[in-house]
Amino acid sequence: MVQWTKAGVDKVLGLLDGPRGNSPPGAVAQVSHAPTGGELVRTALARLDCRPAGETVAQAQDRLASLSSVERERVLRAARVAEQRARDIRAALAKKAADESADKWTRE
Amino acid sequence: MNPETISEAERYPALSEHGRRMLAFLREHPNAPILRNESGHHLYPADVEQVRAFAQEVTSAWVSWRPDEMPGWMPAFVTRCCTEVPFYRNYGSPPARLADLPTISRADLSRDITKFVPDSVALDRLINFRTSGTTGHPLLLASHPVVAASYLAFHKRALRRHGIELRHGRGQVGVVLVGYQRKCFTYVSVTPTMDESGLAKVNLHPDDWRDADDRAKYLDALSPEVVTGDPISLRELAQLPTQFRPKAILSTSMALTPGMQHSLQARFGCPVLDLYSMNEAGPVAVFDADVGGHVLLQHRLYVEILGADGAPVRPGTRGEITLTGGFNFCLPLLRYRTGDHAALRFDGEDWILDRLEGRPPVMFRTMRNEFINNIEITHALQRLALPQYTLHQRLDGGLILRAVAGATEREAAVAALGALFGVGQRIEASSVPAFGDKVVQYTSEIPFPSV
Repeated sequence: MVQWTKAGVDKVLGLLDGPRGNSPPGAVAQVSHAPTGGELVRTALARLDCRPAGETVAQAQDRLASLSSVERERVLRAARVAEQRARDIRAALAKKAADESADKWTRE
Repeated sequence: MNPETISEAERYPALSEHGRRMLAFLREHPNAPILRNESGHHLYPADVEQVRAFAQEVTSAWVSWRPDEMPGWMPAFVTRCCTEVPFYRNYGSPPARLADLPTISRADLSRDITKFVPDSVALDRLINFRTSGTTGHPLLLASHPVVAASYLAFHKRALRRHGIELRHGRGQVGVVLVGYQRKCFTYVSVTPTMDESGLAKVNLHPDDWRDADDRAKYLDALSPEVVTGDPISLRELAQLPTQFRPKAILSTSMALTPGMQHSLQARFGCPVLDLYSMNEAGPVAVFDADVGGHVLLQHRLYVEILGADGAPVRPGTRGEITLTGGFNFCLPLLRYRTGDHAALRFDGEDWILDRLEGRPPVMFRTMRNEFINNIEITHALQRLALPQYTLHQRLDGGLILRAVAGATEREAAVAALGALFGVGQRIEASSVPAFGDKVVQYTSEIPFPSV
């Protein structure tokens, strides 16, 4: 059972704030989008020197490391896909100026 | 795709024999202008059906939400944006109230337009509309030939308000778009949803004609049912000795003063409609003197009026026009602050924008005593690495250029302006570190001569 000290609460709040300057829109958003929120929960527990019930220290550390690398790879893959999509859109837009590609009845 | 390598079949899919004859008529008329570009509707038969179905929807739809109501389509639209559009996906789960969503501005679109294109949009037929604007931030907007063709549905809705139904079809010219700049795109085409009636975009500047007298002769020969343009080009048209009588004139791009509107109506003997329209959202509203304001046209474009603090204002209070929705499926808008201002009221039937301030005409006088508009200045400067600049002309004709630029770019800009305005043009130029988000790019103290 966790004893909620001020230091422990501050640690949790620090996790939720994320790194300054380049954080995504709140770790809360990540939790709401992640399929299980498992990585955030395990990271929070580890930072509080806790672990999920029924796991040894070694098991908890192994599972956190594995989940982090899977999640990291997922995030990197999604970022690569998004950047490729952005490049494709830019290329498509550069090719076709509307004046050559469509007829509106007015010019705005 | 290099424009020169696009075939006629790609420009005019399913072009019929009478469509081909119309193109030949427009191109080969003895008084035709120098047509510098090619366009084409790029609509396949399935696209034409989609455009027709949308036009039918617009005909029978109402801008139906009442005060203190959200349109019925709003929740699904917001959810789709927050799921499919990269920029809006960063918002997380959509809140219960629209007013709790952040707003976006022209600056957001100009920073990275790719973030606003939904994941589901196929890219093979994506096109771009380029807008320079008078409020800074040149903008590249994602669109599609179906979207461009769908503008006509709202033009017809606006015309219907003034008792006008369009009839021109096969063998007739449906519309002539008139421009008046040193350089602008000029081309001919046909409108497939109007039985391939003719469309011509012409530049009334004499440099684009073999003989300046050809302008009136060509337009009389075409006798278009509708003419569209901006107050500057329509003023030039009004000074030509044309005889044709269009059924209506549509004015866009800049604010149309009542004086200018009445002059054009008297000259051409037809209604002159002031359309509030933009590349980001298409035709938004049309002025109706009977209600004393601009009536909203789109049943899937929700309009809010926001104060300087970003909060919705009380009904009837003037503020910034902010848009959500739209028919451009390549650029769904979620609380887009337009930079234009008006008050909004509901009169029991229609939503009306009162005291609309859009983009006023900005004319500059050259050393040759000619008037040029801000778009020509944008063209003269666009090859330079100027992220942002403002240009002001004083009453004495002197120019003041302020630019986010180093000395080299600034001097290049001065040289380009000197070439455009002519020998002896006085130009004061200075570099600034940055401008605010809302900057008026072009201003002039020189009065613009009326019709």
